[in-house]
Amino acid sequence: MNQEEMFRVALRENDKMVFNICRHYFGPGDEARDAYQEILLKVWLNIMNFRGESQLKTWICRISVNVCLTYLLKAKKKSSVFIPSSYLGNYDRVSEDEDNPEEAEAKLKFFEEFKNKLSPVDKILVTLYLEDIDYTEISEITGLNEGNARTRIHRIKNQIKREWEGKYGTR
Amino acid sequence: MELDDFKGKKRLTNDVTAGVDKSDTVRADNIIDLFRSYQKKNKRKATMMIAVNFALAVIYITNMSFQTGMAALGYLLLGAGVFGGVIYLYLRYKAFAPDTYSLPINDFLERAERQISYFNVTDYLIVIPLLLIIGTGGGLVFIARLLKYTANDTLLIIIWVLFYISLCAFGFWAGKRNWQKTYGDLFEKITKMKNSYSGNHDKID
Repeated sequence: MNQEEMFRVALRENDKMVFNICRHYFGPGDEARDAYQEILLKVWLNIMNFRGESQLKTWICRISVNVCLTYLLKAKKKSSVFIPSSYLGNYDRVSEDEDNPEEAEAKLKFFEEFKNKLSPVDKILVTLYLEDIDYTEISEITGLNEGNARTRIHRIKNQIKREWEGKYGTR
Repeated sequence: MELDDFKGKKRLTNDVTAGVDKSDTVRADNIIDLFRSYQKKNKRKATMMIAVNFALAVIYITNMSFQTGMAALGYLLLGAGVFGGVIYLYLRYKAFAPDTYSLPINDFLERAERQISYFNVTDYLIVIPLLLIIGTGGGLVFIARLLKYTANDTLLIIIWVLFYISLCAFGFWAGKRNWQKTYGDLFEKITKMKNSYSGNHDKID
């Protein structure tokens, strides 16, 4: 396969995940869109170096989290950002599944604030966890050992629960 | 409330895949075009930088053949120094090598920190000898030219050394300021992350 074909495969299979990682990390806004494009650029530049030592998904995930970690606002404004229109808007639809949209909104707001307080690495761990990436892969992506990743996520889970209960009680 | 309440699956349930196939092809084509032109532009920029500096080195070396003695040696050293400088600059600032991004986070942070630091030990080991070569070359040319007007070579050496050291010091200071503006925040961010990553696994801020 040549660069173009490999890129197409990578895009087709992991595009949504990349976009979600950016959205989890930066929230809904231009930063997420710019970071998304930056990640695709890195994938494009590197795709021929992918040797299959890990899964393509894991490899792309590594690129995504590393770009998110170091993404700078100063990064040149892109003339165009390629996002499938069907991706946009879903991020804020969490309330559609809920019986109580007000509570869902409060949760979402609380969660955004909570995420912003986390250290960059913990934020990445949460992002990967929310994308349903298993602990083995999380460990491959982050370089943390599996137990360590598990412990950190477990503590974050407890922390969010505690903080929510402290603020709103046990609802 | 649980962290799992925010899992992606739950969030992205609806029309994500609806009609994506068709638009995906168009979009992929657009992205590929955009990246191709980006690569082309970058290549042009790098080629330009090498060409300009290479031309400078060639001018010095060519000048050498029209000179004799101290001046010829001076031009040779200048040419060699500039040429070495070009190779160093190209390799050092080849930008954040894209393959760095596919490393696990901890390796990535380490590599990134090394790559964007202003000057590290290796840099000093390369840059100082290069500056000495260029400085000696420049000094020889300077003295060879001005010896026509004065016989006091000690004075000329002192003037050149003072001038060259000031020039290097200014360059270092200006470069550092510029670096601070461009990479300072990122460097600080990476160092902080690296420290929190390697030394403080169990603490959750």
